[in-house]
Amino acid sequence: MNICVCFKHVVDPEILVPREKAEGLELEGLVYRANECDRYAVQEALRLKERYGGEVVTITVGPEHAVKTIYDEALARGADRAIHIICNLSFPEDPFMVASMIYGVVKNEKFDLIICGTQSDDNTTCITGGMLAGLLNIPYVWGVRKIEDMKHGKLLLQREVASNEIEIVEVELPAVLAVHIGITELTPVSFTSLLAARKKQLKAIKPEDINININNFRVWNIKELYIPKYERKAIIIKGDIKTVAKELLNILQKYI
Amino acid sequence: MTIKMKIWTFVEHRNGKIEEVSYEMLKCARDVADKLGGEVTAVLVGAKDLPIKEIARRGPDKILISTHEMFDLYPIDGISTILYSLLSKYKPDLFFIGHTPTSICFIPKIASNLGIGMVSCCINLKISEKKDLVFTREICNGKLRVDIALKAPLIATFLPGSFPAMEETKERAEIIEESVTLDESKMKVKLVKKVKLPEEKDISSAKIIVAGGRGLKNKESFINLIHRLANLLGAEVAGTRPTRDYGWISSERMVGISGKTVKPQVYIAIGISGAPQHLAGVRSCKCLIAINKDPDAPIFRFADYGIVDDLFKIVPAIIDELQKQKISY
Repeated sequence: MNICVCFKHVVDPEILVPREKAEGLELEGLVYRANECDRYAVQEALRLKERYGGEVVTITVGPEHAVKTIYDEALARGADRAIHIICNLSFPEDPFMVASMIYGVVKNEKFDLIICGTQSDDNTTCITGGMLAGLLNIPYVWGVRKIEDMKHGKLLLQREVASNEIEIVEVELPAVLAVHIGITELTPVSFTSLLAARKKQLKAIKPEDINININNFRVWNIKELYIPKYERKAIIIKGDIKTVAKELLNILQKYI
Repeated sequence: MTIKMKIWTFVEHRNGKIEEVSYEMLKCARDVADKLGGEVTAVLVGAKDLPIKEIARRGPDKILISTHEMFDLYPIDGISTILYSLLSKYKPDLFFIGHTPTSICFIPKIASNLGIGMVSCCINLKISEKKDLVFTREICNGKLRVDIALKAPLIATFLPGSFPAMEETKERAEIIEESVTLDESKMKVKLVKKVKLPEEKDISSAKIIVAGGRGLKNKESFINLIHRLANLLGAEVAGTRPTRDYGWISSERMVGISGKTVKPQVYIAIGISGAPQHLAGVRSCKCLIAINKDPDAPIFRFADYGIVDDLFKIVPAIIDELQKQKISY
């Protein structure tokens, strides 16, 4: 089974510090890392490869500095090769542009399965994989919690419908799946695999190499990026730890 | 004469019950129709026994209905097929859909396939002076908001709770029935069975909730800190989606759009950044207390009280104090 994993290099929301300055919005703490569900997507692809054979290829759309994330998280985890479409998109990026670029590459490869994460930690559109499935015109399932089995070119999987309900569905391949965190257990990446990853194939391409003018795929017209206003008045409890703990219990008693 | 804008909404129903977000979409559509001049059409499809009356009472001008017995066996492909044909035939200008685990299985695929612009996970819709439609979304766990203008025809999904539900009103909807032909050989995603997960505890009516997020780092500290504090306070334990995905809590204790909506007197959010998907489940809590070491964490924008400090120091101190004071809750 040849598997493609859509692997995103994201802004770490926990480190990001947006600041409103006189000159406009400034993004401090702009640190990138691998998208959390995508790490699980790679691991799950490797589990399927172990069971059914084939190749695992990751594909990333992102700036030049995504290279480190691709080596350390996708290739070191065990992917056979990686494709990197080097592209500086405005932030947050338009999911249709990303899907179109991935489509430009995967339409020429023969993948039985494309796995992506259910959402990215920075842009959280949850729709890039679905858009890719639409361009390829192949089946799509979002919210996969478990891949149980494969028989006669069909995958049996669990899809989450609500916190208290799952659906067991059968999907014909080729297909695109969007998987949740926790679909499988992550294996720690060893130092030797980090070194070995650097010897694997990482193919860098530019949108023009696949005859794509990204501006033709622009759907979003970004008007403003800003820090949201406070919805409630947060009273910050200050002081040494003991005082803060006592104060908190006083507040609790008022409400209970 | 100006041409009326065609505004569509999708009605999602599961196990015979209409999802609340469908009423919210009707409200959003009605507001746009009132401002820009347009008519609201609700799209309602299913295998049988469609809740037409319930929808008719929520003010759409038209209800497009379609039934097919195969929708039960192929819900994703079945709904996609009918939506493809309806969208191609009627060409609506705007299509508003609740962002749910089911709708996002088919909506983005249809959008890209038909070449219709799409924006997702929106929390608001504004109409500019030039009558452009501007959608607001939250990104980076809610640390930033972005306003995006899209040209019609467009499809937009909104997080549940983004609008109030459309109030009940006099029925006036014209019902249009559309037939659909489904070719079984083209159906690729088949529903084998639905599994209801057992629920031992329903936290939706709890008075006090102690909730933990990714900041707890692992299951051991989640149990040591969140469970212990909850025990001493007589509170229920809850968590965010990642904590459920990591296996720290069971599904029935997950709060947010794909989990529970809670309305306690006090919600103590510990190590939770405050992503919009989580906050959607706690909007109606009386008092929210947030503990997070990141002063820029979006949870503080929604909190009544905040403690900006390391939870690994502050929570043990609260536990100590509780044990010392022997207050019973």
